[in-house]
Amino acid sequence: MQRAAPQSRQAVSRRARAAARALRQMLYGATGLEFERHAAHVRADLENLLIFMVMGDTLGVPILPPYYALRLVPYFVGSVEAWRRRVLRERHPLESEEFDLHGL
Amino acid sequence: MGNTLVAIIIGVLAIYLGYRFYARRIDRTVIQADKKRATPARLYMDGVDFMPTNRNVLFGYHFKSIAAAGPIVGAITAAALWGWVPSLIWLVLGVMFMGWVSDYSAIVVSVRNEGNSLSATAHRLIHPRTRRLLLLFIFFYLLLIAGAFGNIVAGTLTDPRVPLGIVALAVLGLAAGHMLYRMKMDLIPVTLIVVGGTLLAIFLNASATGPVATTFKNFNTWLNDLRPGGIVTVLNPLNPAGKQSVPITISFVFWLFFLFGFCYLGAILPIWRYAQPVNYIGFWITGLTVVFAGLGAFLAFFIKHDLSTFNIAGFTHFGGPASIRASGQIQPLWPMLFVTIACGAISGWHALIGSVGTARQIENEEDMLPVGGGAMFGEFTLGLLSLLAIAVAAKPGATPVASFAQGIGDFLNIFRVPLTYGTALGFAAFVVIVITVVQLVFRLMRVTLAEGLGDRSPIFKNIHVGTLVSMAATFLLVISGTWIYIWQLFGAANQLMAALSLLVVTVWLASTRRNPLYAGIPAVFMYVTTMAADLVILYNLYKIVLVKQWGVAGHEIAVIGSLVTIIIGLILFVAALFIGWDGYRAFQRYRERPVEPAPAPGGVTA
Repeated sequence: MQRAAPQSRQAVSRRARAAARALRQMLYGATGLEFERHAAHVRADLENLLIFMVMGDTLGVPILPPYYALRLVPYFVGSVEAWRRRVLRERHPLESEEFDLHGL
Repeated sequence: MGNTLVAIIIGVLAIYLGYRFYARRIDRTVIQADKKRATPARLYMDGVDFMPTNRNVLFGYHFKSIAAAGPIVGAITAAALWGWVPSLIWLVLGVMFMGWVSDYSAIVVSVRNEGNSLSATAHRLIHPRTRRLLLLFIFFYLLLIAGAFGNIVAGTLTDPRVPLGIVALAVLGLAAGHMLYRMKMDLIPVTLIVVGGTLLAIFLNASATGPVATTFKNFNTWLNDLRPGGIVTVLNPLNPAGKQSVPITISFVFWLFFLFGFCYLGAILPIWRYAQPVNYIGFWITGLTVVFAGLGAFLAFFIKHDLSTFNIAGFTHFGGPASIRASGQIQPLWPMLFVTIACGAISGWHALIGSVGTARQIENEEDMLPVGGGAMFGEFTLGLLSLLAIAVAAKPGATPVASFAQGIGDFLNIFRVPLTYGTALGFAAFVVIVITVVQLVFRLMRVTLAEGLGDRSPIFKNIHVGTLVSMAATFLLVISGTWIYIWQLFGAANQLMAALSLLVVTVWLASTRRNPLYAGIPAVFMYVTTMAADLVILYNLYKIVLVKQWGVAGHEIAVIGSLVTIIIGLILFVAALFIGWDGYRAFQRYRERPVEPAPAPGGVTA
């Protein structure tokens, strides 16, 4: 019996800590996550423009002089696939407001 | 006679039974959520749109995205019309068998279709015109929300205990955006400053005889004295016979324009500058009020038993209270209850619009139910709390909003918060949660106008023109005076969107050879109910408002407003007919298709 009691106390304590952690995570989701997502979106918008400028030559939209664009291309090669999917993805008209969308 | 403890126990049981035995069964046997199947968040992880997120964090995010003013306004209106018993029954059964289905299934369809929205899936599965019709639907739906919520907020702002908190919300919202994004301050100190400042403003304005409230009261009186008969007279069919002609006062119009000014900033400024921080502050104000009021509602039974007892009738009449029946309008329990209480039981907005962002962050398929279904069960608790608040505090002659605020004040009084401050918080929480919705509604209306009309008339792409046109249409709706019908038409549109989203889900289930009944039956029920409700509202608008005011001097604007509302109702009805017919044909098409060989196990399939 005495051996079981510390184990059951430990189990209760573990569950309480897990519940507290879950509550903290829910609170973060309700408060901070939208700022994190918005910041990611703002950064992504700038990155989209930058990659478009760098890769513009290959798309028939020469923006940067080819010498400078070619020097930058190796840094963006890994991001091109994700960029392409992000830019060409089909969008709902209201999607630009989505991350800050409030319920009704 | 009901009480808060019994209602809370019923609510908790509904959540437990609905989630544990029904929702989980569907997740396991019909959808067959597979932890090992890659979700779009993991497949396309780009750290921007597609980002696998912990389920608890996502639950908080999705719950905050969907919980808003709908369950509050709907519950307090329905309780006043038909009593608390049918309102509670619909809230409970609605969320148990339909609400969670709609939200959860929308996320499932999106996750299993590469993160595409429900409308994009409808375009592919049902008919290409479905997406265009949904866009048309959404604009008028947003117009109805703006009209319904704008009316109720402007009316509440004429209460001199309310305005300072909202002014503070606007100013501190701007400050918060600047502090976070320009000054790069940490979120916690910014939260303490702006939320603390807003609460301080609310409490400074709390006392009806205090200097701030007296100033606002004198200001309203001065405005009304400019034109004692109001600027126009409208019909309020909810008032007893002989008192239905109601003047729209200058103070009401002033606060309506104040609301428009508040929302104009939200519609045109970059979202980080104003709308997002205002929503953030509003979340804290409303969240703290709701959480403590909910605890108070539970403890009231043990600490102050008389506070926990319901003050309103359990059931008035199938046709609504006697004054309604005597006026000649019809408000039958079916179908009108099901559109008056919209968001607390089931909501189309969540499914069609609010779920996609969440679906793209689902880390594994087993998170779909706790996040999507769980958040809807969470919103049900908001509707339940609103019902409890009005049930304990309703008084003859008091408006539903005032009764709601009083009820919140009573529940907060359990924790020794003085009634004056508790009631002020109740008012503030209500206005804040509604006003944050309205500012985003105007933003979305501007975007929808630009999307729909911008190619033909480039002027609609101008953000100021789009916003002003939306506000002009809203103004017309608001001063037409028929708030209850606008609210019910909004509810009908919302529930119709729910029916349509369930229809898309049903067609998807049929296309993937899954049992469609768990979504199909709610789809049919909501479709029939909301179409019937639409017709009832059109009848009431025509017979009670339009016919009675036609040709009456001084009621011209009200006549035009009710005509506009009737036309909107007809457009929604016709659009829904098209979508329903296309959906039915698509369902039959997929049902009769021969069974294809099953794909190899372990692949990423729909």
